[in-house]
Amino acid sequence: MTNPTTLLSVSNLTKKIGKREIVHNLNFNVQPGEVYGFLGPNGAGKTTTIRMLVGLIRPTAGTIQINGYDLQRQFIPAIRQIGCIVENPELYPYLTGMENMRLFARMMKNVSQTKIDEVIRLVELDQRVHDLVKTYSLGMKQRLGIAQALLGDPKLLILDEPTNGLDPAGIRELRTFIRMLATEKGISVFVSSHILNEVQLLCDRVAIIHHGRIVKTGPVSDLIDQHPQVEWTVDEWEQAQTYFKSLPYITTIQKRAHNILRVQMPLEKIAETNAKLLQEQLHVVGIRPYQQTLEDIFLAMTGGQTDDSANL
Amino acid sequence: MIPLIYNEWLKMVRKKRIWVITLILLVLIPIFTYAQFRTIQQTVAEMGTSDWRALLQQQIIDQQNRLSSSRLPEEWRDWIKLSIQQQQYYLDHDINPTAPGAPTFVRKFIEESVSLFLPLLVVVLAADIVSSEHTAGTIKSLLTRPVQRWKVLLSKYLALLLSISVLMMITAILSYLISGVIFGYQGWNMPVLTGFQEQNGQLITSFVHLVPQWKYILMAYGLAWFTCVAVGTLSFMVSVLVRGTAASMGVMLAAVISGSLLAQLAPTWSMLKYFAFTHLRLTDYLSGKPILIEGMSLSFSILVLSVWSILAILIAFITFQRRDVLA
Amino acid sequence: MKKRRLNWTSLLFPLSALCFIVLSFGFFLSTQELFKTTDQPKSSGNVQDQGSKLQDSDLFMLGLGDSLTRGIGDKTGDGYFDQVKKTLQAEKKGTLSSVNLAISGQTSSELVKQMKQEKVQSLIKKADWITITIGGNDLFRGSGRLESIDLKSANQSKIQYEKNLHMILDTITSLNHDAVVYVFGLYNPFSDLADEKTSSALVAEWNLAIQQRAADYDRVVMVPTFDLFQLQPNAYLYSDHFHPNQAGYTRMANRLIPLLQDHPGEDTSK
Repeated sequence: MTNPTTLLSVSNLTKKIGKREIVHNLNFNVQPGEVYGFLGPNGAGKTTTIRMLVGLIRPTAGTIQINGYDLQRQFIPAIRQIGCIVENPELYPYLTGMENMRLFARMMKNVSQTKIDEVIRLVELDQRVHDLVKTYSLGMKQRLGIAQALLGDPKLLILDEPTNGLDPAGIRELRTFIRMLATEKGISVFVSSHILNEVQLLCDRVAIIHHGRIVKTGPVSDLIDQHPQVEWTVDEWEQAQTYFKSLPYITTIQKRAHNILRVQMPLEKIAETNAKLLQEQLHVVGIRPYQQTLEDIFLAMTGGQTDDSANL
Repeated sequence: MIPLIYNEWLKMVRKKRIWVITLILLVLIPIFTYAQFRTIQQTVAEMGTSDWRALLQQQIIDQQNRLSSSRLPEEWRDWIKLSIQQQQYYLDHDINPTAPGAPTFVRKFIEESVSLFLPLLVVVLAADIVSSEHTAGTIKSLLTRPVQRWKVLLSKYLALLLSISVLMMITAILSYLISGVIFGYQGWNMPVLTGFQEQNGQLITSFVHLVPQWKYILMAYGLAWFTCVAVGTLSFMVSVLVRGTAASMGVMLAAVISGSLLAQLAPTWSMLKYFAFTHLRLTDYLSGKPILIEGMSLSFSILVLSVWSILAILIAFITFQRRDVLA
Repeated sequence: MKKRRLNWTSLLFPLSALCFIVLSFGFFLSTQELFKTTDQPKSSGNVQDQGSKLQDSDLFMLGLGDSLTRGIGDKTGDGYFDQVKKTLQAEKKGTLSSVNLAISGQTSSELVKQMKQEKVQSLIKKADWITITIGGNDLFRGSGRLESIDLKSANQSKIQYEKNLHMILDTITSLNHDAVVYVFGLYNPFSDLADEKTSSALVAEWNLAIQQRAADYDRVVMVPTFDLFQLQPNAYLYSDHFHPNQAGYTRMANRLIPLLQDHPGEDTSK
């Protein structure tokens, strides 16, 4: 947190509405130039957290520091570091794209027409920018939303579920775009999502939130590699199960279908294990590294500790 | 600050509501003009003369006959008596109070519309100025800018004041242009009486004097403007407090209508004078129309409207500054 | 086209500011105008207050009859009745109270009916002075048009009028034998018109009837008005050519006041 290069530093962030605690004691840091994922199922408190980050909601406790500025006490310099889209790209449908951009530009200091044109070119909207926003497709609105978020040359871009409602092509396009912003422009991006796959593909680091608490933060690679699972389809599954139990690197074994066993094991051991099974005269029909879902991760992280999992 | 006000102004103009209101005026003013024309025609036909002195005379006698009915409540009796005196004053000084001409229509139109019609239009204009941003979600785009919240709200308020001013100006211009077709465009310099005062139920005419009609119209519109600003301010507060456009409009329409009805239904209920919406008819102080509720005067009315407005502004700003934007 | 729309909006912006300034100036002007006048308080009441609270110890004057007692035609709304009251109040320092029960347009038959009301009777009992104007509407039948005077029907209504007047005065004297009753005579509002002779003769006949009725009682006084409006009707009649104007009422009041002072209500004899 005291790291001078930290761009966004959140500590002990808590929000209560009435008696209900929406968000409990969040702590995480975003470094310059990284894409940070904020992963959690719907209703986990992602949106509330993001709204606190952009000053729409007051935290009940805790601090948010953006590039060294405290969001509560130094709102203007702090918010100047940020560009954001909260939920949908909220634009004025009865104005043209350009009018929307100029309108937002007037709310900041020193945004020139050149800058506006530049960001519009960046999101490739220059063809339609003089049309009314209500005639835009969702993808175009999304791009215009990003354009307005980039107007103030933000150091941190905050996007709430940016791929919601986009088609696969649009999602891929957005992903490349965000990557480009991070690598070429050095902008940190904070992305919330409820899709594990998306975060995996896009982010460098991730914080996982569940029931208002952060259950895990760390590099995305850690998260995925920590509990890799492999599904083995073996006809003689009972023997295979007994054999798996004897292997030291296999931690958990789950029976999925009548001949499928899902085991937690390092991926690099697959070939070795397969060879051993063959030696044991067990017929391996299929081997498949299992794509974990968010639920699996929660399960894995909280597995065994029943007390905790009830809280989560 | 001016760029912010311009932003809000742009939204108000491009939301087209003010043009819808202009359209309403464009439809209604010809109707009122025609109605006024018909009334004059009919009175002329009934009297068999177009001599306004005879008309005024007849009006006075009609009023005096009403006065003689013993069932008339005392408040009404006073009211009629005062207006008889005033009409008599016009007669004695050879001043035609209904002298046709577009400026006269402009003057009469504002005097009549200030109590209900214009406030309703202002409510339509103002009731969702903040709540619509919530409904559309654009409030999130608005409040995540490097601008203090109170400045955002202030720019909205000032843009509202500008729109109200434009609305009044449009009303004046349209009523002048449209009614002039029938009544002619002359009459800006016609002398109009003002300066009537009421003290302890007495009409005091010692300050009565003549002003040119253009000046009178300017003053009447100024007073009506103040009324509309007060109504707009209250609507503004409601639009901050209430989320839905329909709800905020409903609240304000109910308040405005009940205010203007109550003032006529219960002139003896003196508590009413602390209620903002019984003070909408500020122009009555100018024209010397007697005031229904006892103890009301221009300074009192302005004070009441100001107090309500200031409270509304405080509530609006404090709420807006503190509120979490949840949806 | 889009370009033009944009310019239009931005042009309207300073215009709206101009509207704002003009209207707020108008408001400022009107407050100046209206407050300026309140700065210098000046007492000038030309409207009476309809004070009608009775105080037992005071002298009490009651008005009955038609629009003349009501004061129609007087731009201040006073009529002779309130003028008299004010004059006497000024002299007697407010020991006089009054109630005006006159109804404009009332005929003698209607007055008879009105006098049956309990409230009216109780007021008659309290009165020291009672002033009455009645008969004008019987005679001119509301329309106030000379052409409509039909001599035959006028004669009939005169008979009815005499009967009514008799009943009215009887009722009053039986209710209150101390009060002095002042009955105004009729005048001819058409004395400047061509058919003056017919109308004047008619009015004279009716006045004679009033005179005769009044003579039956010692406390009933007839106050003639015919002469007041005879020569200069336009100067003393209101612009409807029927009711007196303010000056006309003043003349009537001036005639009544000395008579009232002759009989100052016998003080507090009741």
